Amino acid sequence: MTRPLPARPLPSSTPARHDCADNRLTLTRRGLMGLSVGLFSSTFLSERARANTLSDARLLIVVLRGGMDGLSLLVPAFDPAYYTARGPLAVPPEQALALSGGFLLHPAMREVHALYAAGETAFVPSAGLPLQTRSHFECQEVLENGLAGSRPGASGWVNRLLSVLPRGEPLRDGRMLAINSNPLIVRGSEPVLNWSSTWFPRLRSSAVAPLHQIYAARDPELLAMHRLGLEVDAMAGTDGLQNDPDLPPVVNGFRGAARLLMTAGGPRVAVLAIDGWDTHAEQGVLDGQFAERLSVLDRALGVLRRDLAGVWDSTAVVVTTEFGRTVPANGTRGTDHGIGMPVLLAGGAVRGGIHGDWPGCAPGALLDGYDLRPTLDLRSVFKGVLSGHLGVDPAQLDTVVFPDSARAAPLLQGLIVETTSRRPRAASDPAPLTEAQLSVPTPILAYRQRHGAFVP
Amino acid sequence: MTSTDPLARAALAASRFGLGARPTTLQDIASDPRGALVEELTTGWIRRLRGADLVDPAQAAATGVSGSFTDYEGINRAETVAAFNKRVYAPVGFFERLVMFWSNHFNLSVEKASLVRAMRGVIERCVIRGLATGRFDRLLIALLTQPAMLCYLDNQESIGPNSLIGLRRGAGVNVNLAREILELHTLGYGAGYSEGDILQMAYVLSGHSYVRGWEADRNLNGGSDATRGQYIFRSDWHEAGPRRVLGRRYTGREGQLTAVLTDLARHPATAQHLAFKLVQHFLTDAPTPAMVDPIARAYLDSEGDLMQAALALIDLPQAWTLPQTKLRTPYELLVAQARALNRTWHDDDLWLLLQILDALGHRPGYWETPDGYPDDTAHWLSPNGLRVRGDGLQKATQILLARAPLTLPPRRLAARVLGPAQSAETAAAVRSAADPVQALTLLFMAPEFQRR
Repeated sequence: MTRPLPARPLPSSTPARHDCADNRLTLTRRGLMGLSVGLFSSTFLSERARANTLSDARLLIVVLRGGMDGLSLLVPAFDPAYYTARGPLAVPPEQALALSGGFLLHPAMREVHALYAAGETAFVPSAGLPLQTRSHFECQEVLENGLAGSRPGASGWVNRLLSVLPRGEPLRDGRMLAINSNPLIVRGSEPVLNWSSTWFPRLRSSAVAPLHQIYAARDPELLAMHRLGLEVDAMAGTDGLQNDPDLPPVVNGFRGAARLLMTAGGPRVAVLAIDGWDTHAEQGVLDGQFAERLSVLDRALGVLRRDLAGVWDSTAVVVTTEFGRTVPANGTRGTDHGIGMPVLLAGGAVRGGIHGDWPGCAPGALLDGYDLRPTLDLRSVFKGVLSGHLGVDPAQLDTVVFPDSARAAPLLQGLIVETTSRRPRAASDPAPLTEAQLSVPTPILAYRQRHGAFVP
Repeated sequence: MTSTDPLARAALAASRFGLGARPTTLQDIASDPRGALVEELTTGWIRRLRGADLVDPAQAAATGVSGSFTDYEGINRAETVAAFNKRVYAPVGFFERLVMFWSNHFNLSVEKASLVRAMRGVIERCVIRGLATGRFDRLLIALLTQPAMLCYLDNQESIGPNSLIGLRRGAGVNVNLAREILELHTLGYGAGYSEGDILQMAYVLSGHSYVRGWEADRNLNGGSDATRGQYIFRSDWHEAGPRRVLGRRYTGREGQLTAVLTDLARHPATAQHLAFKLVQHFLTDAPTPAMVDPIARAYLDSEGDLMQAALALIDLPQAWTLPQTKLRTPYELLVAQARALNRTWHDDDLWLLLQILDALGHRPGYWETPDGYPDDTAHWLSPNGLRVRGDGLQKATQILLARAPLTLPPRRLAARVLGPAQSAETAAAVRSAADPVQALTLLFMAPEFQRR
């Protein structure tokens, strides 16, 4: 079932230009001539001065696991084929929230809608992975390893991102933060800071002192580790107590991430995953499992906006998933594994609007008759963020962070507000990709390098 | 820390090679700790796992290709629970540790596909349990022809380009399984095989597949209800012709795979790789040739007998003298906790056990990649990991105590379970704790309990 991207360059591989506010919307509507589009023009978006500074930059990557149904999040209201294909699963336009370019937003996304109105949210309507197998397993692997295909033992691209940042910079020295798990995307040679928003009660404070007495006498390594673990947990805002039980665990995860991202000398890049987007049956429209998950995500992003208030102008959040879902609804009032998927970007550093082309939902425009056609490689979006927001040298993005991706996934310009501090530094001589950067260390190889082969 | 104290040797055997002491374990095995380990490997009832709610491999495979999520997750969960309970009541747990070790060596992730979810635990029980101290070539062949393994590593639709069907469809081979056999299951990284060997191996593997659900439904390609989800060799998908792997020539068709795997199993690099992994798992993060080579030699001299490898492991002088610096994995820790408390989880509480394992990143069957859960202390010993261990063990202790009262006061239980390994500081902390939950949580968080 592996289908590579078409060999010919994708129409949108020319970078979008953003010379002025009116030019911000780069949406084109190929194949949709004559349709009434656009409830709002781009002037809907506010253009306020923002102090996006590189030295304050924060980046949060949110991975929605299971394949999020993008067509129920970002609704192409101008495309009648959407309503035909989705039938009762289509989001009714009178209930949805207006964006621009004719797109509507699922009504569960009230906070995100407000951010969009403030010019702090963007969508890339149909991105795709370089590997299109419709397999959760393979697509999550490729989303996280940043390569063109599966490669067992490969590191994750966020880990390689940290490896190309200069030592001494807060972005690198603060390490990357992984919330609740240690997914492939952060694995590799660079150290990772973890924090889990576990719901069960924290070890009683009356147990900590006697435990640390044992550790101090017998096991200094455990003492140091446990102390640091408690410290990180306290910085994440739980103070050794349970999380706020009124908030869903996902929101508590975002709260902890926000507090840690605000900590002086703490992490600046964080990764968080949310499960449960694999909506094959009874996914619902305005209510139901999909709407509930969206609503939690919306609440989490709203909380993040408030918790990161001090650095919001220098924050970018990228919400992504392993694949989109089939355009037609299936027989069980759900949708199946698809290809094209939207990317949601939020934060004060994000240039709001719709970036990238819409491929169309009409049967002739679909891949194999049922999948949204990607108009951009997902890595183009990531590169646009990493270059514009963190100042990473584009050559390093093409060779180390996303190896061999220069042609398949050219950097998408214009996603990020120009920084008001220094310009991204262009490395004159970018370092090539090393085996250590690309691989998760393998103990048997290290043993053999040291001790040689076994000779019977 | 070499010791002549029988109880100290018993405590070492129970933690380093077993799953931790139950309240009577140290007394039971003190007269001959090594003998107790060996006895586990040869005693039928200790090795076997049976249960009324456990299905056979054929049924699991059929469910995996044609059943519903409830069905195959039901099979998976029943196996996870049965294995956990078996481990709680094993005499020492050395055989269980070996089963867990080989299961991790041939990792399967239930998130790959429904067939893997249905079969992972069934394979551990029906295949690995039987061969964990048998010949490695037999274990290797048995596992690599499992439908779940063929599916997990994408071999089921691997078609030789010059096979009958390959020519007709313009299809090709998938090298994933071939690569992992050489890199992970046998020779290991850095053993000098080439990309060419991997491709040749992929040709050898082409056509080794299983009956898909739709083939069984329509009686196509040899499929039927009786063979639903079963292993099948598709002769017209196989890339025919002699193959050369690591310099050796192999003829034949279906039997070619067996011949190659048998030779790989007996290769010195495989012996070194498996011996290294055993030492890394049981003894130290820094194995040396002094520890690895005797095991590799015992393995090669016995034509790959894993029993001989296990015996060589426990007969290493270092096995009884190296300090216990490895950290228990989260799964081992929760088994050891239940063993110490001499009880297992109530059915109604199992969801919490699985959540704690999830939070600690060690739920059986949930490591995605074929390398299996890492076996170095650095992976498990992290600030956040240790913090969550404390929270999780406290919660687990509270739940386990709520179901039945303790029969021993915590300070006596700690002394029984840790024996002479218990430090004065741990004993004092347990003794002066305000209540049993706190006393036992301190016991389980103590270095003597965390390290093995």
